[in-house]
Parts: sequence; structure tokens; C-alpha cells
Amino acid sequence: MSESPTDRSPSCSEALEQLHAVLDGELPSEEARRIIDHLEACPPCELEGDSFRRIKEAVAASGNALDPASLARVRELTDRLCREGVPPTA
Amino acid sequence: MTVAEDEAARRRRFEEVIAPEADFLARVARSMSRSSAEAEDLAQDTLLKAFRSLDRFDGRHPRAWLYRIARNTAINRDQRNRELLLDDGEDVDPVADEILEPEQQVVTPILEHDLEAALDALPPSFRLAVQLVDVEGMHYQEAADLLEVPVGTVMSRLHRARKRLRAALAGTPLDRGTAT
Repeated sequence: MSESPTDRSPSCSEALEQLHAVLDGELPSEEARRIIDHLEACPPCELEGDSFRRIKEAVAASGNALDPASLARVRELTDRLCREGVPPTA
Repeated sequence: MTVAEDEAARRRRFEEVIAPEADFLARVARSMSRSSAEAEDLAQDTLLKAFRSLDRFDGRHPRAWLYRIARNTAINRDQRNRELLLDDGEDVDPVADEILEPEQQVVTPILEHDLEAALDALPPSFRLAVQLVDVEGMHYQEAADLLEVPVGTVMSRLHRARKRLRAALAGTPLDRGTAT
């Protein structure tokens, strides 16, 4: 019987190729588990995984948002449109 | 229906369908822009256009609808944005994918500033991929549908964006894993 991809431990290149999909929750749990097991057993790959995880978490936390004053003005316009609409000459 | 009733119905529909997505629009506009001020203008123009053309919106996928209005507005404002928003980054600063040695990095102590600068240095098409997946929490397929590109393009932009961010942040507290 031939070996299926899920039966063997992934290589470093395979683990790194799938790393972003694991971080993004895009892999089925069994497949993700194989990659995570590799990362936990392979310090260079684990380091690589940690660095991209930190990047992802920092971006997510930042929200890549407008500065507070700009965001407040966007929300004000939204509220005004809900209340008053757009004047015909605007 | 009178004109006044028609306007009132439009305002109610805007409030129900579009207003809840205003913050999403602001974040996407930021990804398409070089500064917060430019993003504010883009988000406000998009809201006004959305309000005026609400009759033509079928009510499905408001985020995708707002995204398209914002993208077209950004392109109309500056045709250079067309390439930046639609390309895969192949022609945009090709050396930027290279990993730089730590001593080549500019190390500054303020993490928020580091990250904002690193994000601003990305091509907008890359920034949007990061925005949609990392900030909005979209699956690759959802991001691909919204951007109207193949899933592989989203993955490619995302991977390259993260590599560039990592290179840009090398030597900062974030890179050393000491950021809180």
C-alpha cells in the first residue's frame, strides 16, 4: 500500500510551505496537526513559524486603522447620512 | 411614495446595510491609501457615493460592494493606483522581497510606528491581502471573492507581504519577540 501524505512526517520545505495556511486556519485539523508536530520538533522551522505568527498577531492587533480623529469623522459622516441623507447640492 | 418617503426609506436602508460596515470601509480605505488623511477622504467619498447609488445595490455582500466603490474611487483619483491596487507586486520594488541583514535595518524603538511604516511600505494589493486575512479574519476564499482574484493570488500576496513585513521589522522589539 502506498504511503499517503498524511501518514508521514512532513519535510521542512513542506512544513514551511504550509506554514501560512496553518497560521491562517486554512488547513484541515489533521493536516495542521502534522505541520505543528513538525514545527515543535524542528527548532529552525519553529523559529520561522514564531516569527510569522508574531507578524500576524501584531497586524491583527493594530487593526491597520485610521488615526482616531479621522475615524471619528468617518463615523460622523455615516451618522449624518443616516439622519439627514445627502443635500441635493452636496 | 413621495420624495420625502423615498428619502426616508433610503436613509433607513443606508443605516441598516451600510452604516454597520463603516469601520470596515475605513480600514480597507487605509489599506488603499498612503496616509490616514488620504484614507479618510477615500472613505468619506465612498460613503457619499454609496448613499447616492443605494438604489442600484441589491443588498447582498455590502462589504464587497463598498470595497468596489472604494477601489474605483481610488483609481479614478489617481490612475497610478490602478496598477498598485490590481497588480501582484511583480513590478513593484522587486528587491523588497530580499531578506536584509540585521545591520541593514533601521531600528526604531516604537513598535506601533515600526509596524505602521512597514505596512505603508507594502504595495496596496499586498496590504489589502494582509488586511482582509489578518485584521478582518477572512478565509482565503472570502478575500479572493472580495478582491475578485484567484485564491492563489491572495496566498501569494499574503506570503510575500509577511516576508516584507518581517524584513522591515528585523531588529525591532516585534522581531525579537519582546513586544507586548
